[in-house]
Amino acid sequence: MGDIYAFKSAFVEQLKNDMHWDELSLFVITHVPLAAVLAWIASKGSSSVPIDYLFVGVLLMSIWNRVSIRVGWAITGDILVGTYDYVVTARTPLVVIIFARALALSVLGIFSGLVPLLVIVWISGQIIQVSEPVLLVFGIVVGAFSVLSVAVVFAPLFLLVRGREGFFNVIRPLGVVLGGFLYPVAFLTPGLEIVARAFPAAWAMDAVILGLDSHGSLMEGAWDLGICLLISLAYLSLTYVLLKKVERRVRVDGNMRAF
Amino acid sequence: MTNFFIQSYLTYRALFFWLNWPSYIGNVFLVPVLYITMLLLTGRFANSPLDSEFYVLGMAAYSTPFILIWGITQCNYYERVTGTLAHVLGSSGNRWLIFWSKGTMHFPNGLFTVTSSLLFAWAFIGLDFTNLNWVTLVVSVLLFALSCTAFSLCIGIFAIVMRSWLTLSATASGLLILFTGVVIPLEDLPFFLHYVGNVLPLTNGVAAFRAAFDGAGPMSVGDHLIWELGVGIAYGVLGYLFFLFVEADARRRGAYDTSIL
Repeated sequence: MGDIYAFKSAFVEQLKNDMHWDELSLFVITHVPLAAVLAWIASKGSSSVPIDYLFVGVLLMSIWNRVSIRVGWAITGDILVGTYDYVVTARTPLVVIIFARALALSVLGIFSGLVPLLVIVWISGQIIQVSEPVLLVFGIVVGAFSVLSVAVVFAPLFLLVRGREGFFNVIRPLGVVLGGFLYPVAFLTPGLEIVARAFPAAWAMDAVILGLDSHGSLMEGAWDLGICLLISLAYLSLTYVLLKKVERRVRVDGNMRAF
Repeated sequence: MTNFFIQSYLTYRALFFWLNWPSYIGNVFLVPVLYITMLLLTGRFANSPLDSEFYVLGMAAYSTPFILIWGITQCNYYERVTGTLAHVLGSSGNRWLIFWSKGTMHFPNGLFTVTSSLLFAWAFIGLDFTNLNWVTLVVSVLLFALSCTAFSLCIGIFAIVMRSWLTLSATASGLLILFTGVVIPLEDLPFFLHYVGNVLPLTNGVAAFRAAFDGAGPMSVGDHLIWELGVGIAYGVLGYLFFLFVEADARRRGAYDTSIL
């Protein structure tokens, strides 16, 4: 029960922390020009599927960009402002707190992803067309979960690699390129596609395109989503192990502010 | 001039927080390549009839203002929040040199990033260099790097008085990717928006840059090059005036370290 309270509190705290004009406007301003450029390129093709794909992809990209950078800074931020002492001495596992924060950031990521979607509608002159709505909805939900599960890895990783400013500027576009948010990962070179397959969102986006394309089948989509969930769980397990390592290091050092 | 170079070095060394190897290599060399890949593959997925070379070259050129804007703006912001701004404004140094010293060491980054982007495009995308006019290429790159440095210095002044340098940098780089014709040709922009590009850096520079790959000589793109230089000078002077205004305002209010926007 205590963990549930902690989860709820961490969620609300993160939501309040990020629900201000500077943060919201930053992510909207960052995504609108990119979404406009992508929509313009995609709208020049003969098929409507790439535009439909962008609707989902830009939303997930918005979640990814927000969660990866902010969760990455979560523990480091706690250390800097002095709240890490309370987080690490509480009985609730660190992974619960981090996951709650990531979930709050995902909600804000969806919120700031809506404006770029309107830009895509304006530039392409079309709204999303779906052939398998069930598959699409599950694709988005599982895709968002997968994005979140990968992003939380950066919380302990960023701390363990002694957080550096500017580090996430590479992680974010790298995740977009390998996550298949803008195109199916089959468009990557074979070597890169293998790497991209380790990123669960790539599988979720395969299910999404089956939901958009009239040739999609539910079974194929369910298979993709199943693999996506399995890989996501592997990332969450990795996060759990890394966070334990962080906690152990702090407890052994006895210095809560050391990187 | 010795003071100018010392000031340039110290500003860069102390206030450019991406000056550690993972962040530097990532931001200067990898980020542009990732954005080029993103746009290229989106175009391929859409089976777009557009010439991909158009936006590959555009994004290679865009990598220059990207690193300059984010680098110079953060230096101005950290100048305030780390407390060195008071020393700068309290010194008797030449203001014109102080203003330009904030961009000097960033200028080469703009050249490195466009060079590495072009090398990537040549090695992995098959960008054709056979008709390239090297003189036009070099002159256009130098000019748009100069004008983008001036533009970054100009908007960077606002980082001294604004709370968030991130929002400022994102807005400026967003304006450039949309309105300079790096990806979307100016004639395809709706309403009056194609005029916006004429007062932004890079617009004319990237036109000359693209023409260089078609073998155009410097004289045939002379109007673009002159316009790019003019835009750079205009932003340099405007930024300097902003700097003087911020200094005068700081002296009047006796507050060197408060954000007013």
